[in-house]
Amino acid sequence: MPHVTTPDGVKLYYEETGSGTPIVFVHEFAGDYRSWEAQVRYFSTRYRCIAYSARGYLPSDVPPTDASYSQEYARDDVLAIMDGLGIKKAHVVGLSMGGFATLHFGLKYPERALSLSVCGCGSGAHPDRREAFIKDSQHNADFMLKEGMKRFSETYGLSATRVQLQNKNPRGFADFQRYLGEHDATGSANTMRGYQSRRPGLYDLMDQLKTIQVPMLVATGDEDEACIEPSVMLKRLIPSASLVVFPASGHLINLEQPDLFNATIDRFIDLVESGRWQPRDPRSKSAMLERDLRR
Amino acid sequence: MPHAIAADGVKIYFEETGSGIPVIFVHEFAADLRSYETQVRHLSRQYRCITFNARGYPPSDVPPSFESYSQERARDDILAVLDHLKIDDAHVVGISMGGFAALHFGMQYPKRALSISVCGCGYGAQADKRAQFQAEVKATAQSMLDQGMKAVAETYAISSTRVQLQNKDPRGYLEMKAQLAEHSDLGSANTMLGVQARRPSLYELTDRMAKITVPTLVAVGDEDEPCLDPALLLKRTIPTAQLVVFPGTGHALNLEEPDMFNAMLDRFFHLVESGRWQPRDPRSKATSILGDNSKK
Repeated sequence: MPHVTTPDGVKLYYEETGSGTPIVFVHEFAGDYRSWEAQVRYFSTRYRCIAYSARGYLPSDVPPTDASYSQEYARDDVLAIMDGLGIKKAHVVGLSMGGFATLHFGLKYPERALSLSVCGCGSGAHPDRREAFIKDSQHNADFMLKEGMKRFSETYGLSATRVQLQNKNPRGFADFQRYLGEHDATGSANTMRGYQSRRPGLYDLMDQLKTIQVPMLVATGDEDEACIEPSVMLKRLIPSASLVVFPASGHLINLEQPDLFNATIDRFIDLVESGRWQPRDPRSKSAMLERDLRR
Repeated sequence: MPHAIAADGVKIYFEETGSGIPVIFVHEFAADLRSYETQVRHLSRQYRCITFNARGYPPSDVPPSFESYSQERARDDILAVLDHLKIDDAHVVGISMGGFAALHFGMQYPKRALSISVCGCGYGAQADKRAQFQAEVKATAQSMLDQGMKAVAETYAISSTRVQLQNKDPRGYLEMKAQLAEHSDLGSANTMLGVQARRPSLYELTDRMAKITVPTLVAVGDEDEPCLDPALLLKRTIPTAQLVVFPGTGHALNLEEPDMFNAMLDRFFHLVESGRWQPRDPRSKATSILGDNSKK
């Protein structure tokens, strides 16, 4: 099976489809490389698409302790995939946990990113929700180990920002739930403990984030309550960022509305490649902006 | 010239294109019915498109006193046009000032609206910015009377939520500015004083908004700062509302991104007409971020 090996010896499984400018897709907590099927099929006609499973997600290695999982590892695993495939620069597209990894990738390795699509990013990021998020993460990790992933998929799959997928696309939802049920419990619990519950809050990173110059698209669903405010914050903070919000959408925007999602990313990447992605016009910032940032 | 007559005798000029299910477009302060040209050309293939000029915008009448202009009048002028055309119900699409009118229409006359599209709606809605907004409105109205629309258009058109249009579509921007300069000084000033300055804040209307049952589309640009937070309020308050945010976009969504705007309306209307527009699933309002395992 195709894989790259990270500097700390973890094997990451990837799939590569198409040729052209590379796009690397970084999946969310409840997904894996298979979550990007609709994107890979759409973009691989013109792009070299790489989807991979994060550490802890089969067929990638599952390091046994949560010490091997963190925001930094997740960020550097994107780099390991690119290095392993000899890719100097890529468009990076990440959802949720993968959106955080994409954002941190852009912060740390801006010269390696053609663009950043930061989607459904923000769970646990807002200071008001941080404590509850960490507690939920710990509880979920215990639940996964005790009850198994299949049971977990039946409850987590029906959380407030995933019912939209069930309503809109029942077959896609069934796939999503089945994939989640197939995940490795240790890998998932370690991801919850090591990565999700320990990652820094976005609001603690504002000074760094506002220095980003890589073209960025921030995307979220209008019912993804945990991600809306952080997404607006990112738009207001980062001069190279644009924000798109999808209607009646929850967390899994690429699965809920593949056509809308693909067209949006396509248009964004087109603008970047034609050199017409512009940072925000300073004239568009009214006086209220600084004050609004913290809300 | 085709016109409807409002309850207080004011003549409202309208244009009608195409046939099918009716769509009525309500323009913003700085525009008139011509601003919906791209929408009419696209949607009239399938819909009966009606555009009209608000009172104060020739060739509609320009009532001499600002007392003839208000949020209620703006709302009821939509009804006057529909009544005149014997239209039972229509999709109502409004931008900015027209978005407020569409919203109020949906609240007051739900049976007459197939849907409402509330776009770029929110200027002056936030409580902490209300006094500032009203002061700006009054000063702007005075300068319209003192200097005329041609002069005002030069500064108004370059505001922080219009520069996006200038950057994206310079020809469209010049057209917008030229049309703004043609508006009636008195009609524009009266609209500012009567409608804009006096309309109720969205934040005072949440009880009524929560009762809306008409399918509602809320759309806003990601750089339209005065409307971004109000748009979220609308989405969260109206159970039948969906929110779309356009990337790299200011106030005049339909002018900046006509193709995205038209595709959005297409999709929205089709969902409504096929009976597949659903109110928000109550399960989507749970507070736990990671699912309900923690409660079990």
